[in-house]
Amino acid sequence: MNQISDLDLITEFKEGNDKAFNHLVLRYQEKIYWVVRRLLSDHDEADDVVQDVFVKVYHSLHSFKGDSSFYTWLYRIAINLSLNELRRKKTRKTFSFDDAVMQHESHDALPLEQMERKEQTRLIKEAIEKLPERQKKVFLLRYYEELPYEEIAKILKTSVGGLKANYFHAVKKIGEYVRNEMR
Amino acid sequence: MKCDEISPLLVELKEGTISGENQALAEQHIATCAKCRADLVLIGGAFEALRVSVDEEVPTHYFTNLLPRVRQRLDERDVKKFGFVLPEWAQRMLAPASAIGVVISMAALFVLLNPTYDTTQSPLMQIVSQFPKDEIEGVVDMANYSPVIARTSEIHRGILEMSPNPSQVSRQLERQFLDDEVNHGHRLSTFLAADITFDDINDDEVDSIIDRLKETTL
Repeated sequence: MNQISDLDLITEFKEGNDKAFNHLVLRYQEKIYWVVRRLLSDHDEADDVVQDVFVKVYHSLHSFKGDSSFYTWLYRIAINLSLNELRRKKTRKTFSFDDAVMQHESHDALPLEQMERKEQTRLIKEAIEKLPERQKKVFLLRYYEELPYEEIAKILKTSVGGLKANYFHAVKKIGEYVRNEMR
Repeated sequence: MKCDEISPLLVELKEGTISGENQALAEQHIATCAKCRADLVLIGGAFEALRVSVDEEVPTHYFTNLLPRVRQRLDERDVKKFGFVLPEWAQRMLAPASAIGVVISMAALFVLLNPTYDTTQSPLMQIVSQFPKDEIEGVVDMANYSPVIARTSEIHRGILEMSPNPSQVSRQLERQFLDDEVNHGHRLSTFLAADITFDDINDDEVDSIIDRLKETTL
């Protein structure tokens, strides 16, 4: 059976079928969670922002005109709210719980391969966190979401050429960080 | 080619997404440029670290519970905005009621803003009132108030006989009388007779008229 399209669900929602919104949430929750989570690096903060994303979508859906695809619009909301949260976080300079857990976890009991994976994961996480905002957005959408440049250009409202340059610099910086930390 | 032009191709080279033509250009440039060779090594290292790294964990059942929590947050926002939130069943019941309210409000606005609309008379009475009162009373008398349906038909026929434009009145009356006869001809036809005879009438008076009509019939 064919899956009902985003646009049909949005039309249903606009016509008063509130449950159509539930289908949209269920369809995109995982993708949106990971975009937000990778931008914020913390589950609890990501959870909070993801809920806000869908609340915002609920209230703005009536004004969605379909100029871009729904998921382009959705990603844009998710990225903007995540960056707002990041900026707020920077000004608060809170101590990351994840960092604390990471520092206190004992690596003694883990097999060597698992330890290496854990270490690489930590380095990657740190490297991504250190990327400039724009490069971070491009990197996450390209590497983790595997979106084509043309789609990312629509989401971020920029040129494909600029995106390619951003992606190159992001990957290079991650490589530099990992190399320097592994020495 | 300049390094800036080659840089994006280095990523594509490591990703394996580069076209044949661009691959030749990139390899040609790398062979002569130490900086780009060094960049290519860094990019390779980044992709290797990314490949080895694992996705961070998500609490069990997180995605199962997300939708209910989004819904809860929506409700909480409504509470903050309006001071209270109605239970879902009440919202469901109120939805058609509010729709009806809108329709009634629009109808009321139409009546208020339409100077040609006489709010004191039903469409049927507007037609009936075009005729002299004593003539209509005569028609009502002639109907003999026999069975209720027959009485309505008599009034109908009588009015038609008196109408200067029978076809127009007929169409309107037919619609109205059909409805009256099928659903509540008794009361409406009594109302018709009563409205013609009396200026103001309430339910008790209607009942007494009905009784009187029954006696007359007997």
